[in-house]
Parts: sequence; structure tokens; C-alpha cells
Amino acid sequence: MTTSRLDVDSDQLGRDLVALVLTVVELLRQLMERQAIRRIDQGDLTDSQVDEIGTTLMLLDQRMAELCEQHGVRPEDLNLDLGPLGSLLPRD
Amino acid sequence: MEREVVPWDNAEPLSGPIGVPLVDLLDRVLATGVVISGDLVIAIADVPLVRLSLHALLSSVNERVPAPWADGGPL
Amino acid sequence: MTECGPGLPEADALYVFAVCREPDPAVIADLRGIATGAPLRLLRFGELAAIVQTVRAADFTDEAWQARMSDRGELERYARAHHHVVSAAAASCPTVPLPLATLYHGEERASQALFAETERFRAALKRTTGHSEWGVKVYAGEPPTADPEPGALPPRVPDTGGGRLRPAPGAGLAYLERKRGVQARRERRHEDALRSAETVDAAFQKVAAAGRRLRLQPQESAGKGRLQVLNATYLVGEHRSAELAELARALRASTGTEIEISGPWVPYSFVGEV
Repeated sequence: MTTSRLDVDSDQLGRDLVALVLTVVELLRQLMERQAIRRIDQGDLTDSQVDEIGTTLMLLDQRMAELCEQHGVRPEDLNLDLGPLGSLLPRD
Repeated sequence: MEREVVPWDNAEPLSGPIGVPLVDLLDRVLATGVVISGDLVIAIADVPLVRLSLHALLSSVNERVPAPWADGGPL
Repeated sequence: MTECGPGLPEADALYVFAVCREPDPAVIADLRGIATGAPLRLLRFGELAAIVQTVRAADFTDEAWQARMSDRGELERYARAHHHVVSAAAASCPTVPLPLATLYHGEERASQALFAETERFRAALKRTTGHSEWGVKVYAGEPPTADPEPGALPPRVPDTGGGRLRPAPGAGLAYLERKRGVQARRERRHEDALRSAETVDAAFQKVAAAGRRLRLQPQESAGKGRLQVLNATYLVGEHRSAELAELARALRASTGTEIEISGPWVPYSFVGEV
């Protein structure tokens, strides 16, 4: 494995690492959101449960936006190109 | 359509960025149905690209930037 | 990857571009090929001939290719160089294109291996002669499925305890309702896209001798504001290729999608076991 190809400065590397970590967090956030919506559709949660879960997810969404801004990462950068497997997160 | 004019008679120059779009070309020259196996390379598929780019990212983190996890983690 | 045979660092290998029936040597005489140094030539086996070039084995090992594959510039250079030879050959005679990177440890090995595949080449030639390959890419436009209020701050009320603000009751529910709407729109859009893809594919299959769906291309090549929903390729007889443009026009109108046709191609996608 030749590392000579990796001609990036350590700032960029740091940003890439943060972007990678935040991408994983964003993936989890989206999965949780999807799960919550599925549960709502199934109708097995009370209104107050839904509100509580919704509030948590909403705050998490905000926190993600803050983290992105803090680290100079745009929301669109939160993704991972898996080549033939497409991208990790939906693009639209 | 004239029979004499062969459809693909505008083979583009080697260095030309114009002409056939690279993505379309790669769809075709990176075989998904390999006709025969050679000696040195059995098949080129772009799955190694995924492994390679992840590996590049992870090993670069390992060597150049301390990982956020203390015990060396999954790297 | 297995590497059998001589491992001498200065060893030569034979790069094979394509297999033809009675190619004209003049057509390949002046081509540069995949590497500088050696001329392109013909390697005959039975009634067929391969277009080959002697190269340095060390430049074409599995490792060398892996490095190349991660460098877009290099990959492009090699892909176009390969295609240039294949296209030139196909312009003069029926040609079976080989994929990038088919190499042998020498002429003897190559002759043996190629000869063993004679039936496959014959079948491929029979199948593709009088046909070209045409690519069809279908794109759906991007109506807004994104969150209408991304990052919107929820209404806050003072916390009963520490004086911080927490989201008002009902805010969580409203948030999830909004997200659910976004998701439903996205799913509907995907369904519409799949349906369009099916329609277009079915229509082209009717005109073609054969068709294949390829993997969807990376989003960057689709550009902003549209999503690729079909990347297909069809083997179409010469006598029917004039119908393709009109078919695409009709389908654009009926599905509301963008349709791009590319071709004619040397039939790379239809020489394997499809």
C-alpha cells in the first residue's frame, strides 16, 4: 500500500476524519428517524411518546448542524462514496 | 444510414478529453463479463477501488493523525 | 492475484486488445497502443487474429493496476488508449473487444489461451456482426423532496428547572410529521423513477437484439438537479439504429424523464456470457 499517493496536508486530513465521523453519526441519526417514523405508522406509540422521541431527534438534528458548522463541514459533505455500492446516505 | 461508413470511425485521439465520456467508457472497458482470463491479471473490477480508498483513508489516519480512540481502535 | 510463470523483473508480457477475423495490419501499424516502445501486431490463432503489443510485465502486475485504478488520470489514459486500438480495429473488420488488462506471459501462452477460446470468439463475432452497441441513460429531474425547513429552530419554552429553553410541547410531533412527509415524497419519487426506468428499458429491449442493465453511474456525473435511474446498453442491428432517436423522443415525452443515447459503440458489453 503506497502512502506516497496521499499528498494531503494534515488540516485536510483532520477535516476528512471529522467528516467521516460525522457521516457515521448522521447515518445513525437518519436510521433512528426512519425507525421512529415506522413506529408512528405502525401506531404503537402514544402521542406523548412520539413527541418525546421527536424532540430528541430534533435536538439531535440541530446538534449535527452545529457540529458541522463548528468543523467547517457542509451537510452535503457528510457522505461516503462506496464506489460500486453507491453512496452511503441518500443523495436527494 | 450509409453502409460504407462504419459507425465507430471517429476514434478519438489518445489525449482528448472530449469525445467519449470517461464514465461511459469505463462502464465498458472494465469488464463485468470477462471473456477470457489472462495470466497477470485475472479480472479488473472496480470493487478494489472501494477497498483501496477506504484503506487509504484509514491507514493515512493511522500514520499521520492520532486516532481519537486511545487503544488504536479498529485501525 | 496469482502470477505464474517467469518473475524476472525485465520480463515482457503480451497485452491483448481485441480479437478479429482477418484484420488489416495497416490499420494498427501506426497506433501507439497501451505503452510506448513496441509496435502493435497481429497474433494469429486458427482463423482468428488477436491485436497484441509487447509490454513490460512489471508495469502490468495486479499491484500496478490497483495503483492505476485509484488515480483517475492514469485510469483515463489507459482506458482511452485501449479503446483507441479497439475502435481502430473495429472500423476495419468484425472485432471482439477485450476488456482492459488482458495479458499473457508470452506469445506461446497467449496463442494457447486464445485458441482454447475460439468457440467463444466465434459466437461473439456471430452475435455482434451487423450490430452496434448503444447506451441509454435515463435521468429523473429533482423536484424538491428535501426538508422544507432544514435546521428550523423549534418554538421554545422556559425549562421549569434551570432556566434553559426547551422545545415547546408538540414540537417533537410536528418535527416527525414534517420528516415523514419528506420521506414519503422521496419514496414516491423513487417509485416513479423505477417505473420510468422499466418503461424505457422495455421499449428499447423491443428494438434490440439484446440488452443489459449496467450499474448506475456515480452521482457527480449526473450533475446537479437530476438523478440517474437507468444505465442500460443495447445491441441493436444496423437496420434498426435509425429508430433509436425517435424512440427516445417519444419516451421522453411519455415519461417526463431525460434520456441520453450514446453510441454507436464497439459491442464491449455483448461479448461475454450474457
